[in-house]
Amino acid sequence: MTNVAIRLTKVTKSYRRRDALRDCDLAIPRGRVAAVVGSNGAGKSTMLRIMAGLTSPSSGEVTVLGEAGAALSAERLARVGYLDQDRPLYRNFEVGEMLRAAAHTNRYWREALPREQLSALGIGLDQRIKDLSGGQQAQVALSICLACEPELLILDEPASALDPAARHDLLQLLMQQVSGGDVTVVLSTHALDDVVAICDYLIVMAHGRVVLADDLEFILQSHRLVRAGIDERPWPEGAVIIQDQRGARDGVVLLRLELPVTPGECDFEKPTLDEVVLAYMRRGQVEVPS
Amino acid sequence: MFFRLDLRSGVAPYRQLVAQVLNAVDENRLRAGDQLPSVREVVGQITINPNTVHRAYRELEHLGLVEARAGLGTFVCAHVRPGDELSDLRAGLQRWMREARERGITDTALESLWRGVLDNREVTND
Amino acid sequence: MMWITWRRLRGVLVAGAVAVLTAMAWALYIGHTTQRLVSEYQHAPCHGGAFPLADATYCQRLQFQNYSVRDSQGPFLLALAAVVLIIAAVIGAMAIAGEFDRGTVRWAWTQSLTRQRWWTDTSIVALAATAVMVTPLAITMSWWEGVVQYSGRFDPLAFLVDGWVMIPVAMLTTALAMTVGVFLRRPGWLIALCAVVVLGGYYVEQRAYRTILVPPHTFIATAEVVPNESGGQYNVTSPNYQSDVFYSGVRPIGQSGIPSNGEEFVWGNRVGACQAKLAHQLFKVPINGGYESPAQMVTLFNRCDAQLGLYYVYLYIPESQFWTLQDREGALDLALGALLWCGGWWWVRRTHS
Repeated sequence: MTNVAIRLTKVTKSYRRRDALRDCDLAIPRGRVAAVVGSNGAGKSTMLRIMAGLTSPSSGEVTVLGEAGAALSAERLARVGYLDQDRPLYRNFEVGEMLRAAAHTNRYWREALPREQLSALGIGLDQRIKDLSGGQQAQVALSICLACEPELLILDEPASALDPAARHDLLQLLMQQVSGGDVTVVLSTHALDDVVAICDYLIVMAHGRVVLADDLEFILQSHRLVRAGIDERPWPEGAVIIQDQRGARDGVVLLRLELPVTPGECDFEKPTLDEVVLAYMRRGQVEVPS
Repeated sequence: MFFRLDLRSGVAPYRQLVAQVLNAVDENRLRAGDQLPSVREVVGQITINPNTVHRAYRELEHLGLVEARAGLGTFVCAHVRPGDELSDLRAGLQRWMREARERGITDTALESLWRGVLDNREVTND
Repeated sequence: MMWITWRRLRGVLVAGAVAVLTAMAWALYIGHTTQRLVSEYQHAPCHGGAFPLADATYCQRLQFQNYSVRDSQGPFLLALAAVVLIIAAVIGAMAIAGEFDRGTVRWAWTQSLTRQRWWTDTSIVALAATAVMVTPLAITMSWWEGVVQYSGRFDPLAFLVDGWVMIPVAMLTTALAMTVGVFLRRPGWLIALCAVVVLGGYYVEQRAYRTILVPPHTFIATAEVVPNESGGQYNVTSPNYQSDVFYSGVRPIGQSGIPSNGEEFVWGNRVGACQAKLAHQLFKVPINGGYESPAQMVTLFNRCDAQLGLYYVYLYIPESQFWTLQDREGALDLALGALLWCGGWWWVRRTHS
């Protein structure tokens, strides 16, 4: 049993007019809750779909839960749960019928779980899907996803376009599932608050490339913010400039350190998550597209 | 014991949990032998990664404040008394603040100074 | 997945069933009306055509009614064919392209069933639905065709609604809509495309390539003078009007097989020139026009054919071959449908969602 949930090796996805993904390398360990952050069009959805087996890469290899990407056996599909950005559900079905549909098509289906969750959320089984609000539809879709007891959950912007209450409920549901056992979660999001609260692995994408992928704690510890012009201390050896915002007289520089750092070597400020993410997202722009 | 999470504070979530437990013990809201909420309960209160809760509880265990009893939960250690852990630290801190204010240093500058030292401490500890 | 497909298509199937039942009701009504008129015409006072002069007005009006009911069925048949094919195309389009169009395929393909299984389950329900819906209509229309006798049995439109061939044609339409729907994912365009392609393809195939399925028979005509009901024109005996005559004309003695395009005009022109010349010679009819009596026409035909070394012939498919042609056409359509199905089965693996 491998301890890498998802491994991408040099994955590229080209469409006729553009490259959605370029040379992506990724190795997400099991048990993590990983956030994928990036601007719209950075390739997040494409990458998640490749992980879920809906699309195959133009080149490169994908290994999910130990099985190479091309396999797509029913067994592999049973262990992976996917929730698309559009929350596809059969709109003319009633909620109860949608549950029945999921029961028919899934090997491991725990009937009680979604029923409990939906009644706790106040969603009746005889309501038509198209009559539910966006947030309720998202919850139904997630409930169904979770009821199959997947080992890996891939969620494409599950909380976008939801009001704060619905968002809270959705993330609650998700975290309850995670606390239940050995589940790996990969979700794309724009809300860095959510990332801080629930994620322990961060992936930043820009222009179809993965520009940062590591444990969240590690990322925050291995970056420093230097106030140039004010702070005359020497920079640690091996530090790499991620973002240089120096003006004529002063400015800020974001550094990535080569760890481990010996005590006293680096008293510089630690950046916030926002600062790190923005710096990496913008850094992607500087690179010359191949 | 009810936890809160301030996502904008820049303080890592697990540290916030640890600090809240320490404060609770200090102010006698948590007594020796009390049970801390289970990981599931905490997740039910605040939307947080269960691993974060595990980590906070482990840190508290490492500090000697709590002990995990298999199958039962996490409990505050018997020897813990309110104010005990931090009373001397609190006294020292109060002295320090008095001195800083006498020098005319603003609260914001104090916070920044404090943060810098705190961050540095994190690096040397790991 | 089968239950899901059935539940998804439920609305479409109900609408289709209503359309089919309406068509059947109309067909039954027309059929019975025709039966009644024919029966009335057979009995007194018209006795199937041998009526006294006194009843002429009544009987001729009755006969006119008979013919007009029959002749007016063209639009009904065309509408029926279009409706059947559209329903079959809608079923196929909603089954497959509908999932792509609505994005639900991204749900279906991430549940624990393979894409192949999804394709198989979905398509079985769609094809079965088409077959079940069209079969009662095919039965009703076969009875109808027998009663109304809209035209020769081999008229492409009549042939489609007669017998059982409507079922495989409809299933072929469904299969086409399903397989093409993997690529063309907009149901509206897909439905129109498939209905047009199948109807057009069927018509072209029946008109131009039917003789590949059933080899034609040859009928050598003997010209006879037979009184015609409406006047003194000659009649040449020919195959039964229910047969499919696709060539009638002169052939050189010794030649056989299906004539190529333009052949009839070549020989026809030569015969016409000979006849004009001979008419002038024998009966003093002006070269550029004139009227020959039926008996004179018979002489002209026989003399000119002999002079040019030709014989008068019909190439046709006899009525006895009706079921053979139905079976072969049906088998061909089912085979095409199966081929399309396999194409879809193979392609869903490779396509993206």
